[in-house]
Amino acid sequence: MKIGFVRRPAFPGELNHEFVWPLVFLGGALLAWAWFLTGYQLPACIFHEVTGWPCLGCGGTRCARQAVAGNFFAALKFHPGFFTMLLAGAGWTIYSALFWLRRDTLRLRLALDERADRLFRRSFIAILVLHWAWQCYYLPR
Amino acid sequence: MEIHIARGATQLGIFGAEEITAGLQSGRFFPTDNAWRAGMAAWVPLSQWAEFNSAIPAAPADGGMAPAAAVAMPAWERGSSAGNFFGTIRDVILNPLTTFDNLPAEGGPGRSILFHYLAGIPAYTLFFALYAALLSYAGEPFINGFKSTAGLPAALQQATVGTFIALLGGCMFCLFLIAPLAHFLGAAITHLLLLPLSPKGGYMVTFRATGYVQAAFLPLLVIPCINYVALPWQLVTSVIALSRVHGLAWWKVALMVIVLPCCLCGGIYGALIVAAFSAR
Repeated sequence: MKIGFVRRPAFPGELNHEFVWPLVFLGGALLAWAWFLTGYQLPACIFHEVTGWPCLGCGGTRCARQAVAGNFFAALKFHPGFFTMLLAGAGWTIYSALFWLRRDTLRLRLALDERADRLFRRSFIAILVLHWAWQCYYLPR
Repeated sequence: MEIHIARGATQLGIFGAEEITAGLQSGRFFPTDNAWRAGMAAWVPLSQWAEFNSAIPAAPADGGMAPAAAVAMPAWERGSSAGNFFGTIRDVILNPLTTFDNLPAEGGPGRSILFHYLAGIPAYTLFFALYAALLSYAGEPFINGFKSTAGLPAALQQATVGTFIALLGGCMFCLFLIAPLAHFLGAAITHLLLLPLSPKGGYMVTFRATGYVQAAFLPLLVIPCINYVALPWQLVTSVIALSRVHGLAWWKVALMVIVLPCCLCGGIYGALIVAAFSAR
């Protein structure tokens, strides 16, 4: 099984990940910042209203608000998945900025063989279930 | 030595030389697939790798068609089956770059409309079920608030939760009937916006590309919370689809079909607000 990182050129037709995702991250951050400035709340979660249980997205806004306020541990507790995505987005944006500044031609990519790919997919589903269990435990408190 | 293989815009994974040789013989890999290994400056099609020459099957004498799987397009264009239906939803959402590379230029709106209707059945049913459940569970305060609105027709003032659920069902049914047809108008406006960029295909190509994107996302857009992610991704997918089928730069498409309408609508909305405040 092979799991690791590789630096390689882009293949013909490959999405420009070093351009698109930083743009999505910065655009999303800008929108979120503007939204928080308005002071509006997002509509209540219908899944939560109907069942009384949190959905997989519940806690995301609270996580973002805490992260913006610099309370990173509180942000992690409200939505570990969203917080990890924020960290990954920030990390990728910094890497991409370095990539463009250095005018690099080799791009950093995750390298997985078939077994590792299968393992990743199954682990992802298991992590979602665990994440939801954490949300059910922590968010009603 | 590990070799990375990519087909179109998708990376297939890392494979050993023996695996690739066997894959080329069995049809799992195509000679047109791009490959790269550490130390190479660029990706090269497998057909140009000397070590795999013996594994590449000879081309048919008649020039043969490429295998169906190698022709990237919404699977629904190949035929009506459950596999092609779900395959199209998956490919449009997860792999729009490759999916729209070869949308056939010829062909009418029929298949796209049929796909829209089929995707609409679960979407509108789910939407109705969700909101009917919400109304039954917690609809009373909302409906009482609504009934106290001044100038409401007498029939609505007498309405119960059941009436509102029936009204919702009726609205969903009407929406289901007209949504694919309303798409004709939406696609026309989109195509008009693209005309200054000299798109490669005609109106019908725009209609079919945007039709597949909208229909594939329909079931996701009605699920609460998922729709926050699905809607922005649908916009990105629409831009990718239109740029691929018309051979245009993605940022030009984004500028014309997203930024420009937003500015125009935002401008009109802003002007209305300014006018409303000035009138007070």
